[in-house]
Amino acid sequence: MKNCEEILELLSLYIDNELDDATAKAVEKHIELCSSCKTELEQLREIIKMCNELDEVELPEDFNEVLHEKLKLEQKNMNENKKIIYMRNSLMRTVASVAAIFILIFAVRGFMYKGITTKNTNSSGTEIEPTGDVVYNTDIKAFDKEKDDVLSIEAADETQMYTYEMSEEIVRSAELYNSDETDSQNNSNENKFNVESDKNVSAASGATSTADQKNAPDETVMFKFSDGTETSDGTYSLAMQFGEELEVPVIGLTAYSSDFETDILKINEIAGKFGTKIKEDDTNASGSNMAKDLLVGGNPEFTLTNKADYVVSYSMDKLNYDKFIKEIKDKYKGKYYIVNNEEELNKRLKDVEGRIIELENSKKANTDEYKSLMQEKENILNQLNSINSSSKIRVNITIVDN
Amino acid sequence: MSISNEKDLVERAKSGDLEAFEQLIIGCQKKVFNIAFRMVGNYDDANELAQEVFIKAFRSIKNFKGDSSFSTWIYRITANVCLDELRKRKNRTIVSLDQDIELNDGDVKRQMPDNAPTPDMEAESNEVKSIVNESIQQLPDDYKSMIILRDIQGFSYDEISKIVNCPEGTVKSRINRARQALKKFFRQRRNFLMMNSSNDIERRG
Repeated sequence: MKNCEEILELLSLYIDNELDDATAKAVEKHIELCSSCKTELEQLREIIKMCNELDEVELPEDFNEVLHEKLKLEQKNMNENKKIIYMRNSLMRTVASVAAIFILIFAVRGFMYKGITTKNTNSSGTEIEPTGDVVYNTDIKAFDKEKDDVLSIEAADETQMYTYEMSEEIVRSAELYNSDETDSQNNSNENKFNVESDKNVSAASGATSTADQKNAPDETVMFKFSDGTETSDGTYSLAMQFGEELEVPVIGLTAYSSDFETDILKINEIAGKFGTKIKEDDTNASGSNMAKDLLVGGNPEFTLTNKADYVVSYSMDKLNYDKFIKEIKDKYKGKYYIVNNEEELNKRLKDVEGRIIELENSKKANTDEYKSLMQEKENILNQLNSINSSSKIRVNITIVDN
Repeated sequence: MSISNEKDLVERAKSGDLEAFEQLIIGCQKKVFNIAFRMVGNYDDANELAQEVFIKAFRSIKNFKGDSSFSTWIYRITANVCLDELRKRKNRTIVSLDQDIELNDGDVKRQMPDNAPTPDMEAESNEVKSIVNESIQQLPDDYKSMIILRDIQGFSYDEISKIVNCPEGTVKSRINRARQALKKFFRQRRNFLMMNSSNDIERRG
């Protein structure tokens, strides 16, 4: 025989048909005789019914559009992470911005490794001792694929030289491999790579070994210096530091335009006043067929945009950025929407760190999830660091033909 | 969505295919939004949170192991995001509100409890519904999620236990207690109204 207390515990399950036959019968029997439990049952049924009848709310009209833009930005971030060059055991110091573009010629698939500066001789027997450090790039494959960035490729015997256009800020490590010595020389005329404005700097460097940084390269590496000297063969463990501009977009501005051509001009005009154009991409200016068949099951709630879009990036300093946004607010009458990558990164960092602590506390620090979170944390910190260490903000502007 | 189709989309989404991901989430968007709406009590916050759910999912889909269905995984993220948000709110100073709610005859002053945010309930014109809503908002977080998942969204006990990552036994007892608490709050509010106004709530009981 069950008492009221026990029966009350079972009422929900009884209502939901989660009891086995015997127990259900016992409940029913009790209810017949006990009016207070009966009332309780009725009241529960009533409140459940009211909950069942609550209306479902509709998604906001622009839910998918907004989400899509955010996901795209997210995707871009995820891809650009691969471009970031990881520093190992090094201090990062940003060189004061030089208003120039450096052209570096890389030998051999652009692999870089961190090496000890050793002297070597070039073909004419002169000792060459470059300064600076090499960055060990763990993910050069992505770097490799960025053919867009490559101005020219020459193949010479077993080496391949890539010419990249680098942007203003380069990051230099102040630490040599295996050494605590910090070398902060930059613009010395005696250096074999000159980092001066408007000069082409060609310094070739290359590591060939994909293996760990302690190994000397096992392939021939060629070096070319700005004074024209070249090295040919060599067990050159290069000490050159470079960094690609860490092109972390900070701001994503998406504008919906009902007058596509005009707005492209207009927005570029405004942006041009406050910053320098870095890149532009109008390859999708006539629309994409990306999302044609996504009306799943005829569900009219959901359509993906297959609208034409135009993307352009500008680099602005922070003050000008504020002015830029103000002018957009004043002059651009269409709908637009801004995503602040730095904020998003910070939010994400908090989540990641929180979860890392959770895992550490529950002793799950050896799991895949943990490892990938640690990697992600490193990525985020790198990106945030580059955002912070840069005096410029990179603004990605997408104009969507509405 | 058939299982094999879902598997295929999941694979593609894992390798960064945005299109595949967006297809995967079509079916659960509305539910996600509604769960968030009921959890946090207002439309705009629900919008933000729902967006956050999908972005989080996109980021971490590589970690999706397929031991539950994709949608269950999404709803779990939803529950976590909402519970986090509710936790954050508790750390902020919340002022208790005197809210006038218009009823058919005359106005009644309502005292909102300290820990319940004001729900944005324009959708519910029915007074009873709004009382139910407010009562739900009053519940402690883990009871609230039970009511929302079971009695509003209609998930099974098994699904709920996967979504909140709790053994089914816990889910069963929690649902029971949640309903009892909800019933109590509801009756309190309703009785209060009945005593303080002479409108047809009395008649509806």
